[in-house]
Amino acid sequence: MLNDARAANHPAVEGLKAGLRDLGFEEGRDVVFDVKLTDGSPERMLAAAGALVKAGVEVIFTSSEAPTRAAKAATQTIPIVFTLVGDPVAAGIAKSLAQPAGNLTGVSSLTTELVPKRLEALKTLAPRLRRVWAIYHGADPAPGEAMTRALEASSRFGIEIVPQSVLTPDELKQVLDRLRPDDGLLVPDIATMDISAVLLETSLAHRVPAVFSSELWVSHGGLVSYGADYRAQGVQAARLVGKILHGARPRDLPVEGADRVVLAVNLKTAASFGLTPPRTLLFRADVIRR
Amino acid sequence: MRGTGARGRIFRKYAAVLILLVGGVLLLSSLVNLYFSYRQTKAALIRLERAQALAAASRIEQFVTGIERQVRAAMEVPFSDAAMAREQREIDFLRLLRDVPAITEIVQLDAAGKVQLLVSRFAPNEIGSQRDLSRDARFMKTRIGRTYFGPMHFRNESEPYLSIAVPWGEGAPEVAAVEVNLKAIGHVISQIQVGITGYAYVIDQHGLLVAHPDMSFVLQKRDLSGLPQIRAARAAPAGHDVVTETAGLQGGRVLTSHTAIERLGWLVFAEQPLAEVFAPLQGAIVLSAIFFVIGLGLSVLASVVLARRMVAPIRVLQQGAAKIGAGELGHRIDVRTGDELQALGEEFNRTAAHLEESYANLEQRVEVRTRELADANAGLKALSDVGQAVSSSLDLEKVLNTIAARAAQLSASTWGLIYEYDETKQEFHLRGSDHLDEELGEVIRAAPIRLGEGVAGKAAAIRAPCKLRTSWMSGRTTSRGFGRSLNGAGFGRCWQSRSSSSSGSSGLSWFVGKSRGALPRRS
Repeated sequence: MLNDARAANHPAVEGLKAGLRDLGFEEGRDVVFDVKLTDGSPERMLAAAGALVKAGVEVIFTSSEAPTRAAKAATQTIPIVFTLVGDPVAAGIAKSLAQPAGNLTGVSSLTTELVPKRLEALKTLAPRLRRVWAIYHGADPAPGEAMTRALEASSRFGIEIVPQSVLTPDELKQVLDRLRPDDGLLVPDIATMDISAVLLETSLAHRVPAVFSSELWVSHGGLVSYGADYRAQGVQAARLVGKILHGARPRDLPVEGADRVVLAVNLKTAASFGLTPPRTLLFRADVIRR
Repeated sequence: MRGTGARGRIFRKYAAVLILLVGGVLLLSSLVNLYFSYRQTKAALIRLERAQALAAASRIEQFVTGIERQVRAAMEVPFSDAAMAREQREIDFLRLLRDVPAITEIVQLDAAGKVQLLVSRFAPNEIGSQRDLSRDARFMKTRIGRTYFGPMHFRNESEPYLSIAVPWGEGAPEVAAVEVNLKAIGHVISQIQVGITGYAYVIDQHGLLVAHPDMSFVLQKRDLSGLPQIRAARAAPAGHDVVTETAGLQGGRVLTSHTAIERLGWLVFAEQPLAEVFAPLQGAIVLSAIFFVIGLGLSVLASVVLARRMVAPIRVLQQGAAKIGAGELGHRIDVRTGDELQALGEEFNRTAAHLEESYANLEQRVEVRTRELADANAGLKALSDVGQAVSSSLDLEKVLNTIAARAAQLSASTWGLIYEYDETKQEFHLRGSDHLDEELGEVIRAAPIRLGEGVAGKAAAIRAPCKLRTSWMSGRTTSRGFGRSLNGAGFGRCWQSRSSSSSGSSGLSWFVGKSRGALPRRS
């Protein structure tokens, strides 16, 4: 397992373990997990991927895009099952969803596709929003498509999208200093440089409405999130891992779209921001934090 | 050795025929039994399979009908106020998305085909966008007032979707259309278990896989229209069941039944590995095999016993015949089977008896002939001796003595006498003798035999051998007495003889006698 998280109990990993258990794979008896945590550092990611390949693992399970790339660079033979990848085709990880080709398959988190929905949720919750900053790490190749979609949808919601790439924490700080009232944040679905965590901090500290891609952030105080459930993706990926362990080839296993898309709202944060969530939003919400 | 070999052959023949018969019948009955069991099991499995296909089809129909019903319910708004109705409808649409995870989008079109409300999981919602969808199939196909089920399509080239458009309102001018993720039908299908490892799957009217327990197959966008079971099912008239035995979706031979979902134009297949058809037969096969082995064993045993029983009397017959053939004519064959074999044995016995009898007669005759031949030989020898004596000596007495000796020898007598007949005196005078003791010689010489008197005289008179019956024979009579009886009156019996034992014409008579034991037997 290659993960960019800091803790081994990442929901996707937990989901994978639970899913495999449900499929009859007992940990210790049938499967052994070797979890490599990389703290979002690209260098450590590559090293960890190499270590997994050297260890001769049967399947590499990755969550999010950067570890998937690192694993793909490390091996062309060991099957790789990814999760939390926003758009595998746009990211160049899979040739097509139906025929991924190569040694990779996995679950698409639909993050990129859901960017307009995320903006919609943010605007619904904070109608006064005029400008939304879309901050991403400059080394990430994926956000291009997400930015395009965000810009396409912006007129519909009467907002301005400010795409902003950052490469260093200082740069990030400088960008955040430029935030004004009625600005919002579109938080990227990556862990590189802990951008999401910094954005969450800023959002809470300065009452900047921010939309996240995962319920995980809402549980840590984020205002609203719309995206595929991490754990559900892990469970979904477990089916693919199970098939591969039973001898299937990754190229015969089409990339699946995430089954479960969750709208989470943190009412406490909304209240502290002075926002009143409309009835329709609450009606739609899968998770409401009070 | 030949006999054993022949016996072995007949034994083997009998045994083989019996084993073949019994074993063959057993095998045949087992096979027939198994065949019918197989047919029955298969028929039962086909019924089950069809039931499963029907169950799957009805579940899918229920699922689809349920969505249709829920869509209608979501369209039902109790408010006449437009703004309130719109909000209520939005809430209902959102609730629909929350309650039915398979629905990813619901859109309301007005009578002109313009979007009034759209709620989606993936796309931004539209409220009164008035986007024109009047050329869309969802709108056009519902103009006839009937729910429209679109063809399966793939979102993002991967996820399979079905559009369901429900006409709504008075005269059905409006439309509520939903996008349904077919993964949900995959879940419905995966709950259907056909047999042990069998499963159900669904194809659409183009032969594309719509639902399969293994989602990967659907996501691969598999075109199954080329599979024989699908060709057969699509070629079959509606309501007609087709059961096929073909290669399965995942290889191996499978038994496939299908049923149609008319509303969707889909076909539901229930597929089960053919191997499972045989699984319940395994017990029957094992049982049949056990019965067959036991039956075969019994038949072997029975055939050995029966063949032995049949062969044993034949063997006795064969050995008996061999013995009789070897000359043991007294041998009798003892076969008590009460059938043709016993009759054959008795026939052998009768033949042997006949043979024995005729052999015995033959031996007797040969004995008689041999004796006659020996007699003739002895006569010839005597004559030749006499001839020799005559030719070797001129001494008459010696010649006569030789003749007497040969005569006695020929007649197996103890002694012999030769008399000369004096015709004038009609008396016989002794001229030659053989082994005559002195006392008897004196008596005989002293009294010549007169013709017609005494045994010798009588014999000479009638020219036939005579038998003297005296107690002398027993050895108690003296030579003198014998001489008297020979010459004088005595009792005796005379008879004509074929052989010339006296020669009256020559004037010589001869007598032979035994001093001990009986007179020479007359043959």
